[in-house]
Amino acid sequence: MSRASVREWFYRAAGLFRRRQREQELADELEFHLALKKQSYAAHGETHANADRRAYKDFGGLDRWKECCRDIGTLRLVEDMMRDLRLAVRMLRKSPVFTVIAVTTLAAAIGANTTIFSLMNAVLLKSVAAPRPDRLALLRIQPSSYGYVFSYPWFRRIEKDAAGVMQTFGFASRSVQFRRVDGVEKIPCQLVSGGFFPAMQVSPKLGRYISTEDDRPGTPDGLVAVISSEFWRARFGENPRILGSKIILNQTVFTVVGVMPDSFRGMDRDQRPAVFLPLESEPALDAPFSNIAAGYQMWWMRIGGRLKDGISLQQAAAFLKAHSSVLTHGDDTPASLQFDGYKLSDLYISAEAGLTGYSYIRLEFAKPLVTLMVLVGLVLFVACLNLATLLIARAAARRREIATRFALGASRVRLVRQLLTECLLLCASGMAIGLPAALFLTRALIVLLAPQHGADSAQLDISLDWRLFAFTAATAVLATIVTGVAPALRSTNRNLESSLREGSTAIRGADRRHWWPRILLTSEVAVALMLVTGASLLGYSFLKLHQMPLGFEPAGLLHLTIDARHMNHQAALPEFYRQATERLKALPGVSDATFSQVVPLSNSVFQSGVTVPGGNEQPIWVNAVGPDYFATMRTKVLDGREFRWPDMDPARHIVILNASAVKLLFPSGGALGNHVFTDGKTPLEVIGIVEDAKYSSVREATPPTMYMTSGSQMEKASFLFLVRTNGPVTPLVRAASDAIHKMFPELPQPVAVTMADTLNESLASERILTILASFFGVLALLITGVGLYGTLAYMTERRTGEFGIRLALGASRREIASLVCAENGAIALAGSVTGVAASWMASKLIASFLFGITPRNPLAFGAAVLLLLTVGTAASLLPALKATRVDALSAIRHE
Amino acid sequence: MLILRALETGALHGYGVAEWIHGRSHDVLQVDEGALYPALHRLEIRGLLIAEWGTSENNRKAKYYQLTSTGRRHLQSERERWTRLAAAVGFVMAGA
Repeated sequence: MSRASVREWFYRAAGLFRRRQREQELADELEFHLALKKQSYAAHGETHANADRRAYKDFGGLDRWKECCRDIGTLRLVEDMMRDLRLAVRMLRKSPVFTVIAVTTLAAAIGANTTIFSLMNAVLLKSVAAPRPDRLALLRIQPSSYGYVFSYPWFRRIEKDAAGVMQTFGFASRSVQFRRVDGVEKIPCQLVSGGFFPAMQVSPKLGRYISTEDDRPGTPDGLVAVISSEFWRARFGENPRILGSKIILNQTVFTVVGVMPDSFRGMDRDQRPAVFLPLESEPALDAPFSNIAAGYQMWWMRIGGRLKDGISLQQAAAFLKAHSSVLTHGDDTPASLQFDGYKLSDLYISAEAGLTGYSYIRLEFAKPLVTLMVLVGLVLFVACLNLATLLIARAAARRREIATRFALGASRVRLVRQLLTECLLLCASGMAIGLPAALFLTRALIVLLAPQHGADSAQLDISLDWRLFAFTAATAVLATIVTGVAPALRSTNRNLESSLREGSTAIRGADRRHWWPRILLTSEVAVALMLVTGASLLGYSFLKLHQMPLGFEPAGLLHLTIDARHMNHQAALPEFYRQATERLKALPGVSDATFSQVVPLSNSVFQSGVTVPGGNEQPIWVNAVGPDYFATMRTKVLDGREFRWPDMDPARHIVILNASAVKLLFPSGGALGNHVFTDGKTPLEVIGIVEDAKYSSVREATPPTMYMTSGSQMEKASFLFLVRTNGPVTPLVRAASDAIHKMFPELPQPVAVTMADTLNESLASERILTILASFFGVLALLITGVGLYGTLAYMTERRTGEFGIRLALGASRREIASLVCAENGAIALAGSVTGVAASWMASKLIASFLFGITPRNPLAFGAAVLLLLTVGTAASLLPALKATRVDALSAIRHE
Repeated sequence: MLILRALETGALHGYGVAEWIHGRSHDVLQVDEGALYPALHRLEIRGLLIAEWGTSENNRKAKYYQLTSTGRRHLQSERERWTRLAAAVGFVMAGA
């Protein structure tokens, strides 16, 4: 655009706001001209009146030229739009019921879409808060599906080997105990290697970041820490003298050397770390056990990287894959190593885009979220179709208005624009309500997605951003188009003359020309049916999951997390567990209490290779448990006995196997009293066999599991307490936590969670999908019901005259009622048939979420169809009733 | 072009422009007074003129138009174009 045209545009735009002033100036100017002209005529001897007349005549139509000047001075299009808008507001105000229904349905649909999108945005789309996040990469071990986890030796190896293609860094999440004056507090922490901050390229707000020099074992100046702005504000009041001061984390002293800026959260998208610590501080933090010292045994850290300039992600990935053999066949990697069930020789390392960082929630919820996005999109579609039918009905009522405006010379484009403006106004209002509602709903949904239990819980970044706004605005515009275009075109495409002549009460019979609303309603019913079918399938599958035998009883069970490894008296650990267990048992209502390393369904996994004499090594899942574990869990002991207190002596080498492990290790029987080996040296005697109990997932088949004594793992592991009650479990949550905290005030307050909650969390993705799909199904049903009712009510009213005549000619009232019902019946039936066909084809979409039910379960389909037919019938009742009350005489006279 | 030329000698109000053209063309060119104002406004938007409110010779408030430097340049190029065109038409007509 040239400068002149920019200038012109500004002048015109300004005209929109300074209309009155411009108008006055224009009048003044022309007035002045006329005055001079009159003067000149008067000077030539004309009479006063004549001078006036001639002046006006010379000028030639004052108003015409004024209008001409006005056009030059303003933006015609915008001005028209504002006029349209004012008219639209007036029209909508005239029919408040329609407006309320339309805006409410749109607000619900747009709000639901925004909510799901906001979650999707947080989980899938938001990028890491670092410059050029597109140059970041995330490493994974292929072909495992959960390969974003590495052992320490591999990381150091990759860090060195891949230096030519990328600056790699390791990171791992922890929660650590922060010592305050008045006690201890759990805070989220991120262990990062020396390459992390240089690769992130985010400069600290204060001080410096952790460098490669800081990330070395046994640094002379002690361990350093970088803290987040949030933590700095909350705990240190933004005191700039924080730099150089000491903080105590897990009994280890760290020196604060820097503060990171606000937005910085690191590479793990689920975490909001309060402190960043060097990777090499891990042994001090996790003491007495160390992941670093455990070498290849522990897969605990993630690797990211920033690509070197000029290296593409594909090149880096290819390099890593080619170099994988160095790692997998490296001289110090044990050849027997297995990862996620894959042999070492099958494994290779690859790099993928790290733009959005690492997120466990993404791995878990990406698919359900995309599915939900599709479902909620369908809801919006239903809402739009519904509104379109209502608009058509309305447009028919406004036919005379439109015909009159045509007759007065309005162009069709102009009228379509007017109708679309009305529609846009509706959608914008829907958006104005839907967006804030969505922000609120998102917060509620986050709880379903990532349950909040203190410092360990995931923290999603759901702050507003341009993507969310753009999405919502685009949704509203799309809704306007889908809703408005068909009715606008249709209602302006009428034979002008006939419309005017027809009037509003002429008999139109069944009005066969009204095909549009029927088609729209039919598709609406079909889409609603798809949603309902999906919801019923998911609901049924969820029910099945809940009825699965778990091998233990979750109701009345509570688990209590307390990190006792950082107690002052380490040597007394066994005594600590004994005392705490006794204390828990003494609580009112408690029947049993014990402790174990892994709580079922909590996503922790502990695996080990187990051999029997003369057999191959088998991967077996392991749990270390305290006495009376099976009694507390209510897991049946099939043979032998379970552990008792004396068995906790580390010198006793005994284990218990579950039925699957027995089948795997001793296929020919005779397990009890026999021996297994985990290290090839120490024989472990099998003293009991228990029924299969779920380990980490309800959906998976129970893995072969070996239970060891807590005594054998006392130095390595941290144990969780399990409490069984016969009474209500809720009051116990607080009581158990308080009891332990009173006993050991130097430890942070333990977190108590009911097993029912843990079970729910382990089914979170299924649960969130089921709840939301049901909600969307109901929403779609309601909207469809309103649409069917509204359209039928309107059509019935227009046929009043016809009904009157029918009655006068001897039709019975029942015939009239069935006439009305048939209308909706046909639509519901046609929609159901279409919907069933569509669901049948789309059923693959949710097949992977279903458990114990085929995606084409006839029961679920039948239920959905029945539900929709019911809604259709219910929507017909009122109009049908009204039709039978038509008074023949008055109806005909009305003509 | 005629309006620009009228303003070349100094600032004028709309009536003045009409009078000037009428007078300079020895009463041959009659300016359509109404059409004059949209034309003036258009030139103003294009940045060839600027308008200012001033007081007229008979002490009334009037809008005076003045050439801008862009306007002056535009007039110059228009003038050259017109001269060429007029000369060309002259040649053609003389040849008959």
